Formats: sequence, structure tokens, C-alpha cells
Amino acid sequence: MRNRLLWFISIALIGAALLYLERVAGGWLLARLLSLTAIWAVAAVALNLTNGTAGLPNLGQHGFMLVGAYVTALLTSPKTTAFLMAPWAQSLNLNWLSQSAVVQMTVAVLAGGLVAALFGLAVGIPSLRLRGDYLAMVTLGFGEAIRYVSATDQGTLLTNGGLGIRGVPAVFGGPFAAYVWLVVTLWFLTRFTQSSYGRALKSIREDELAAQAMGINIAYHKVLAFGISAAFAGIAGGLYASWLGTIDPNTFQIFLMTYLLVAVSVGGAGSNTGAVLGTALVVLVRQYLQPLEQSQAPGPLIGWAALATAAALFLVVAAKWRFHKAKTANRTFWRIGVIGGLLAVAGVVLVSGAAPWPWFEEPRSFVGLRNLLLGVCLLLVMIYRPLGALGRSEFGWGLIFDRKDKELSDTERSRDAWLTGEGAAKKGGPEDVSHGGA
Amino acid sequence: MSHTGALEIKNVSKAFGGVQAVQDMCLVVRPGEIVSLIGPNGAGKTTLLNLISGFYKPDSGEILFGGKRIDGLGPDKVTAAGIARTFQSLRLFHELSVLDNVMVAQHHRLGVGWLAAALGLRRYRTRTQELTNVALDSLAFFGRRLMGYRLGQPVHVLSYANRRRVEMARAMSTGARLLLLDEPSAGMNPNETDEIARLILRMRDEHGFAILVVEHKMKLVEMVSDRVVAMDFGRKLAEGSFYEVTNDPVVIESYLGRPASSEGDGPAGAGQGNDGDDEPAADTEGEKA
Repeated sequence: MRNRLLWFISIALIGAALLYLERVAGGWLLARLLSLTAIWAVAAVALNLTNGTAGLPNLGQHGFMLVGAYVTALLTSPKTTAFLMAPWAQSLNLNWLSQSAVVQMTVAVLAGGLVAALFGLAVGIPSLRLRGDYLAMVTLGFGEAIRYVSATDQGTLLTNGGLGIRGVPAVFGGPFAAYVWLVVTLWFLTRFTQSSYGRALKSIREDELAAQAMGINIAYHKVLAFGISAAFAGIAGGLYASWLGTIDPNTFQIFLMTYLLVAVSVGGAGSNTGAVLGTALVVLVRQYLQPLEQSQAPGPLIGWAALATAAALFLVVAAKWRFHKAKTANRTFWRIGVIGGLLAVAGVVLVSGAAPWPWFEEPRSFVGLRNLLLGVCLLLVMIYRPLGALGRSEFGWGLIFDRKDKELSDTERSRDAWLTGEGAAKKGGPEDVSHGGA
Repeated sequence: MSHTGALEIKNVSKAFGGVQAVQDMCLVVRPGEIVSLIGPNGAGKTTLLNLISGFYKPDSGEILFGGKRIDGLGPDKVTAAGIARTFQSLRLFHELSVLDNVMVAQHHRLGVGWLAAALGLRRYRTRTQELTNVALDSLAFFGRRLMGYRLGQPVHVLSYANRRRVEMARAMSTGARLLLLDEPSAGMNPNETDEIARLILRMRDEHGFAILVVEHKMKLVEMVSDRVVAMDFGRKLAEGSFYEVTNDPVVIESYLGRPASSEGDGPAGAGQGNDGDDEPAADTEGEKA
């Protein structure tokens, strides 16, 4: 009850902040970034259903987003520059339904989700017999193929080819509207994941054979997860089209998929709120680390990177030293310390501009550095926390307040095992005779 | 046939390449009956279980349950038809909680669509409540050790014996009438084995399950069986009461090998000699699990 109240209060506060941002403050860039976060988060949360909950490696989310985006754009844009489109495609619109742009966009986005779901079924039904890597390849193939198909002569009749479709109404460009969709998505998908169907999907992820032996129709549930995920990806695609205003096939390159994958993996495989946090990380890194890619002298840049790495290494050494049980400085400690020291010296030299080589002085630009950093981020998470920041748990007030009540500490657990006699056999203690048969 | 709800296996054969794993096997398990399947390692017991539970499709022969053919249906349909199994090496859903593991087993009889479930409609909520009660019932069957705070614990933190119990609870709550238990006491100490034997009897007496047990521990077989079937090389060697089967010379031979003096080289004799003891083929396989 307390948690529910806290949730209501926090959602109301966030909503109010977004409304303020949209209507009053006019922080244009921040508003754009927040709405982009919400839109990509819809796709990321949807991706989480297949990749995290059901354990189906789906790499075709950008393809489903493309489908949703084009359907939305076809139904809503005025198509004033649609030279390459077939006449019947140019005449597609929702004016017959309502004159209100909001109603039109809402219907169009939902239609985009529906069509994307159909594509999801079309991809999913034949390929869900495949396992693991093979499914990843097929879905990745779909995501790339649909982009090329949309740029072929035949596809162009519908998509206007590389010219793209312009003038998609910016109804869902604002943060508030985007967050309404995100909340709806989170609500629905979290409910679904926590329902009996979500449980069945998790059991498929854990042990497909056992799930089947427990009466679960594997194929049906996999296709279901795939279809729902594709539907929300399509919705996200429609929202993205509205955010961008103009879409063309190159909007939906594999990079988009990679961002979503990083968001889900870093945030937590199987955690919807984690996916949202991960998306925020991706969007912020992409926006605010942009100066790194501008033309500049590499010396200070590399120097700062070396200093940051050295600081991180020293922190790790210090933490190990502080919490390590045996306080012996073993070889690894020394090695890390020496490497950190060298990096620190090199960093100071480079930052101060004392490096003698001209290579460090000539300005040059490092295109793709942000993506590299995201890659490093993903690498570190995969090594040190394979399930992502939040693991499989959801971020919420319960995570902050209730942790202690729900989970036993290791000591409590072993004491309990001793008391109930289950640990007895292992430890060679008194036999478990107290409660046989029960 | 006259038995309603009986499992009938008629002349079932299954080969893997050149190996005839099960050959012309016939077996009947009547409602409320506990039948044990014994035999040396590699006799085809687990293959037979996999054939019944739908993981394999028989090459020839029929498997009927309650008068309907279930061979070739696929494991999920077989479970829905009323046959649930446990696995020799535990196959639980390790990251799911104890309660969720048992709830998964009931998903197939939820009878509510996914949209209604996601939206949390009233019929989904009432149905879930019913199924949760069934799950709690089958967990409470094992006493207090799976109840309370353990309900919410992920299965991988449980002790081995408790994981075995969860797997049995999971099979019980599928709504099945026949349970196939594949070495339920593998890796358990003598006290726990006794307890498993008592549990198997209680499953039949209190819940009316028919049970087919594959087991190596003769003590457990002796305690629970209404009827014992011995297998070797995919064939049925003997069938009858525990004493009839364990005193059958053919069975003894398949476990212990022939006396050195005897002549001829019957298929059963070779290679089985080392396994022998008065508790034949002790659960070496289970200990590893």
C-alpha cells in the first residue's frame, strides 16, 4: 500500500515536471532528449520481453520499428514531396476518420504496432524452431533486409525510397505525450511479464524441455512473445517518426538495434525499469559526449582518459584492499598499482601538453568515439555483471525499502538450513530424522 | 480396454540408430497403482519414460492413456492429457521462485487468454487464486519445509533434497493422474530415501495418483511397489510382486551375470558383472547428479 502510494506520488511528480518542461520552461534540448528516451525506451522494454524474459535473442527490433514508422507516416503525413510513391500510397490518410491530428496520430501509431505485430508473426512462426544464435541471425537478417527492401524499386512505391516521407506531424514529439506511451507500455508489459504467461516464458528461458514437460506449448508462447514485442516496437517506430518528422530507410540502421541492445543489457536482462534506465544512459551518452567527437588535439583527450582509467584502477585496488579478508598484497595488486601509476603519469604528461610528439598536438576528430564508449560499457557490464545493473529485479520503492524483508542473508540461510536439518547430511552432523514424513 | 484412466503400452519399440533401446515392450499401469521399473543401467527404462511422456515418438506400437492414444502427441499435450513426470537429473526453473515453479506447471490449464491475463481481468484473478491454492496444497504436502519464506526463494538456493521435493510438487500440480518418477531418490541419503518412499505411498493414498517409478534402490522399490517390472536390453524380463521379480533367475542373471561355470553367452550376462551387489546397481548415477 505504501509502495503504491509512493508510486502514485512519484508518477504525478514526474508527470508534472514533464508538463512544466513542455509547456513552460521551454528547455528545448532537454525536452527533445527526454522524449527520445521515452520513445526508445518503449522499443527497449519491448525488446526486453523477448531477450530478457523469454530468452529469445531478437536482433530485429529496428526492422519492426521501421514497419511501424512507415505505417504511421503513410497514414498521417501530407506527402507533399512523395514523387516516387505509387498514387494509391500517396492518397493514404486518416482524414476520413477525424480532423484531429492527435486522434489521427494515435490511430496511426496503433495501426503501425498492429502491422509490425503481423510482421513479427511472419518472421517468428517459421524461425522460432531455431535456437539461440540462429534465431539471432534470422532476426538480424530480417531487420537489415526490410531496410533494403524498403529502398528497392518496388518498396519505393510505398516508402518514397531514399527521399523518405516528410512532414509527419510532431504530435508525439513532446515529452509528455511520449511518456504517456511509455507508461502504458511499461504498465502493459510488466503486467504481462508478471502474469501466468510471463511465468511460462521465463520457464521456457530457464529450461525449454522441462517447460514442455510441464504442459507449456513452447511454439505458441514464443510466437506470442515475439508478436507482442514486435507490436510495441512498431508503436515505438511510429512515435519515433513523429519525433523525427522525416523518416527514410537509413533512419533504421543496425545502430538503432545496437543502442536498444546496450540499453537492455546494461539496464538489466529481464528488468523493464532497467531497460528504461539503460535507454536514458544511451541517449545521454550520445548527446552529451558529442564534444568528444569534434575536431581537437588528441593529447589532452587521451590524457584525461588515462587519468580516468588510473583513478578507476586505484579505486578498485583500494576497495579490494579495504574489503579483502586476507590483507596480503599479492602480485595482482602490485601489477594493477604499477599500471595505474604509469597511466596516471602518462595522463598528467599528455594533459599538460608536455608530450614531445606532434601527433598529440594536431587537431583531429574521433568519429564513433561515443559508440566505442557504449561498447566498452557493454563489455564491462557483461564481464562483471552479466545480468545488467538491475538484474532481473525491477527498480522501485520496494527495491529501496523492502530488500531486507524479502531476502535472507547468507548467515540466516545457513542457520536455517542447519535448524531444519537440511544442511546436516552435507556437514556430517546429526541425521535428519526430526521431521521425516511430516 | 476396460480400464478407464489406465496407461497401456502395447508392443512399443524404439531404436536409436542401430541400438534397440526399447523393444516390443508391453506394460499396464492401472489407476491408483504403483508400478516400479527396474533394470541395470542402459536397460531402456528412461527411454520408456521419455516415450510415454512424449519426448520420443515410438517406432512402432501404441501408448494409450484412458483409452486415448498419446504416442506422438508431444510432451505438452501428454501432460495436458494427465501424465506428468520428474527428471532423473533435476530440471527445475532455477531462477524462478518455489511457488512460481509450481505455478508454471498449472499454466496449461489456466484457460484464460493472454490479453485478459495481462489486463488482470476478474476471471484471470479468480482462476489464478484457484491455481495458487492448488500449488500451495501440493507444496504443503511436503510439510513445512517448502512453505513460508521459501515460497518466494529462487529454487537454486534450496538444498538438493528440497529441490527434489519441489520437482515432485511441480509434477503433482499439473493436474495429472499418472506420475512418472525417474529415480526420485537419486543422490539422497538413506533417511531421505525412506521419506521419499513414504511420500510416494502418500501421493497414491491421499491424492489417488497412479505412479510409475524408475528406481535403482531396491529398498525403496520394496517399500512402494504394488508391482515390479524388470527390464534389460529394452525388453521386459519379468513382472510381478517384488519378491517374485527379485527372485527370478533371469533378473538375477541380468544384474549379477552368469555363474562362471555356466556355458553359452546369453546377451544378459556380459558386461554386467561388476554392478552386482545385494542392492544391485547402487545409485552411482544419481550421486553424480
